[in-house]
Amino acid sequence: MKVLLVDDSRTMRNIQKKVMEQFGPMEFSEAADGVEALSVIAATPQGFELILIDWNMPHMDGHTLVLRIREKDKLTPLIMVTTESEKQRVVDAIKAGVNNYVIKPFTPDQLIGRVKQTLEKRKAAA
Amino acid sequence: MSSMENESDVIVASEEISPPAEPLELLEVAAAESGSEAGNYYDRSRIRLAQAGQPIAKVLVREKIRLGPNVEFSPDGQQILAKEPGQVNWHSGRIWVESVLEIRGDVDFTTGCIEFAHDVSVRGSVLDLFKITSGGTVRVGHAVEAAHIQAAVDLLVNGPIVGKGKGHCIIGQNVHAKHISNVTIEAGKDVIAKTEITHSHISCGGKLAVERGSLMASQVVANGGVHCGILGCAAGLPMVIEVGVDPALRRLVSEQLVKIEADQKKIEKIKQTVEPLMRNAKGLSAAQKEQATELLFRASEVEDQNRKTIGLLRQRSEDAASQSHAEVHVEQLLCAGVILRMGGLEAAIVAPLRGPIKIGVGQHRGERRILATSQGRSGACQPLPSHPAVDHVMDKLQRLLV
Repeated sequence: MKVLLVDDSRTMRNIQKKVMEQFGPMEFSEAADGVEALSVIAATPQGFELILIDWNMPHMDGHTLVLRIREKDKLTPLIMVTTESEKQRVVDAIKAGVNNYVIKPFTPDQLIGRVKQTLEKRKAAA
Repeated sequence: MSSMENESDVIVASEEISPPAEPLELLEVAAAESGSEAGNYYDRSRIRLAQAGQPIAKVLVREKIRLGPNVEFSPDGQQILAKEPGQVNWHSGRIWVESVLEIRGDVDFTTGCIEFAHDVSVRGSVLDLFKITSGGTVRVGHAVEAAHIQAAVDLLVNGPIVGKGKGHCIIGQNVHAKHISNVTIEAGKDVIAKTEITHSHISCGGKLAVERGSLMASQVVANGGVHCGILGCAAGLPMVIEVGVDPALRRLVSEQLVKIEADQKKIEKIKQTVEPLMRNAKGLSAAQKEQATELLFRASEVEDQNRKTIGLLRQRSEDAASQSHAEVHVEQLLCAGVILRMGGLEAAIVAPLRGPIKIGVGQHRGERRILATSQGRSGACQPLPSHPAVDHVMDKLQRLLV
């Protein structure tokens, strides 16, 4: 499975990688902000099967990134993984087009649960 | 008169170049590992051993070389390479690599210590303080003296193993010898001696048997039980026989328990740190939330690692249990001074018991006891005065697995 991890913290990306590896063989791409993520997406014509996005990042935040991705791609599952826990933020993210929302701090099991849920919904919709 | 004027020193140049006497030149294949001048004489191997793919000879006259098993010419034809690891042999124009290392005499200063990936066969003896490390079986024609033998499979000795208090054998599977004395043996499976075992420390994952003789003045842990003619000696020298416990498992558990307990403490500490933060997640800064996620992830990783270790211990424990046989069979005489441990009980023999008898754990008048059952016509069963023998390591394992 091809997965893009977008987070300005390398540690957090490593955590996500290790958690995601429990789903089986993975091919990860990484980006430290929204701008870098867009160029990685542009350089990957076959696309990603899942993108995890942090909200607060330099250059371009996660919310803007979601809006930019959804301008062209309505299908790729996007999960916002963020410290932003206010209800309004969650609503904003869902309106922008995320498929799921994980609030930090999270346990590995919580992230696994949300990823599983998202992928199953995507599969059912396909 | 200068030396040049001496007739015998004058070299007459010839236009004809005579062909080399040998069609190849053997290369120093084992020099890097064991030929160091700085090492002691025991460590200097004199055996020509090659690794797979290693150049073993330089080609001088290719037409005169016959290739034997496990060798090939290098792509440029300038060298001969070993296809398999083994002993390099060169005789009458033929070169080959033997995958069984055969020592025609003793393992001594002429051979040095031996380290070989496959079977090692020694026609003579392994002398004091020499070491053999083998990835297969070690066969010895005569004796193993105060040597160190490490073999992944078996140690098969035609003569005795006479450790003189310094011998040590670590063997993956079985040990067979004529008799065994003053040695420490750790074997994954059975230890079988034909005539006698004395003054030794033996631990084995299978059974220990002395086919036609006595087992005396030794410390034994045998997962698969003990079978011998005479157990102990008339002088009443103390010895401990423990059966039905796998010593390798006990060692592994003892090592891993320390780590598991330390990890459990670490997990507990992380949880104590994170729990109050999680209760007040809204009051945390973004950096604190990320830090809490990291801590939770670390705890989860340690937990996963512990789960894997416990799984491994469970598997090893089940394997050991399948080979466990907590019984001692004595054909002729069980002497006073022997202490028997089995099934969490211990019994000291205070008066000799005549064989053939089988000693095992059973119920006697509603109590778990060590029982000596005659294997003769009477079939009489005698409870031995036994008391609980706590094995803290294995007890902890049982609690962990529950």
